[in-house]
Amino acid sequence: MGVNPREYDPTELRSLAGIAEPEVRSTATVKKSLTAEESVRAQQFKELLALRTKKAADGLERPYLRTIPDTDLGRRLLYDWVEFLTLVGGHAEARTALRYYKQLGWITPAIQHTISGEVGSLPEPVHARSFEIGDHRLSLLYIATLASLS
Amino acid sequence: MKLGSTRTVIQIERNGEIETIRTLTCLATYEDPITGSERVLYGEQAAQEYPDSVEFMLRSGLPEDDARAELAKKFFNELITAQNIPEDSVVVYAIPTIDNEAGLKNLSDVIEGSPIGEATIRSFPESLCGSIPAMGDELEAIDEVFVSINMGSTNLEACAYRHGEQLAPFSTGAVTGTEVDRRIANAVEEETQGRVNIDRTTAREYKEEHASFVDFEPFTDIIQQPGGGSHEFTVNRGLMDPVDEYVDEAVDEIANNFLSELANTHMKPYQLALGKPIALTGGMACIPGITDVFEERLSEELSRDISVVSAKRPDLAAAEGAHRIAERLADNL
Repeated sequence: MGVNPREYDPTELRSLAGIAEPEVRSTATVKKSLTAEESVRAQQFKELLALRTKKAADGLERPYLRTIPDTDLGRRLLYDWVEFLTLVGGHAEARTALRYYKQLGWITPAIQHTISGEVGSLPEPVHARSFEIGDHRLSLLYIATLASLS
Repeated sequence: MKLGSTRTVIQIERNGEIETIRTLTCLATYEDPITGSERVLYGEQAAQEYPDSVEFMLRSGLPEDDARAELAKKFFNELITAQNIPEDSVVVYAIPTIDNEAGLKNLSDVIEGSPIGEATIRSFPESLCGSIPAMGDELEAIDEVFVSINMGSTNLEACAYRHGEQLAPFSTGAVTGTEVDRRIANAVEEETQGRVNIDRTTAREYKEEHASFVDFEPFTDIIQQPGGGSHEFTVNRGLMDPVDEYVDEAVDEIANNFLSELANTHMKPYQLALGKPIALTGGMACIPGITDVFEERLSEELSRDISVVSAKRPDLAAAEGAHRIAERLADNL
């Protein structure tokens, strides 16, 4: 075997650490320009704007997400979002965030109930923290993308 | 085993106890006056007894040419023999991620040509191994999404890890511990109005012994004058100014190059990792208080609260992390 440290096998490493294989979804890339925070925000707004424009023709009303798309892509995206919520704050904080999204009219009570149940299926993260504005922005992007698939 | 440009660190389990071996990655050769054969010295002894001819063959992080590869082979064999590392062993190497194919090939030859690691050999990035003891008591780091920064002698490395997978690996040779040593040597000369010239090894020793963001105090040293007699001098800003600049430059590289790239290519891991502790490892991370100063300045640069953690011994962290992986590999044999 070679010794290039960039060529290690993450699957073997996860198996050694006794950790399940995560589902991986790659994210799109944009051209490098602004600071890290600015470019992430810019990319999120750009994607939200595109989704909003697409949805505007059908009438954009709250709650934005009323059903979970019953497709492979939809399920993968939902898993990705649930994993994100759990990794940020653990089970309790993730459920609090979902309640907040219901209050804002981003998701329906039924969706909040379903996803809160999904949260429990993932392990608690090693380091949990409180949600911040950037987390909610990314959640809104997940919601808008899921709504666009519904 | 961490094969560092300045120090090599090995953690090995013997009789149920974990032993740590720490030595300078250097070699000196001399001719035996009686037999005429070549003799080899390595580590601190080589640096002390042959300061003029001692060779740090991994100075750039990897053995760049055939001559350095040969020296690395000799160093490695001397070290293995002297420390009695068993051949029937599982060896995990923590290696800097440098884009240098020739250097990697040379290192690969050295490692594969050595008698140890008969059972299994693996290599992982130094920044990943170093963050393992910073993130928990076992292999918790592999289950996390986090950013690791390795402040080495010859490289500043950063990488985000998502459940063990590396994302947006970044490495620069522009902000390094060795450059700090060079600046300290120049600053001491300036501070003493040109009366004192110290070499980089002395500058590194000053840094390792006296640099601190918590309780730095000016210190004195004595040099022997060429014409006889000695000269006592005090080092004050000559030490901490270069260290201070280093932190600013490291923050700039991380915030504006590494994190920008990560944000552009991996939005979710970026969002997740920045809210969690960033692991700081490597020799420069040993300077008392550097974690807090780095945390403060990076938070300011990014306009958000960042938390930075490091292992109790950042200089040993990469070897410690590599050892934890090796333990699991050995269990699975």
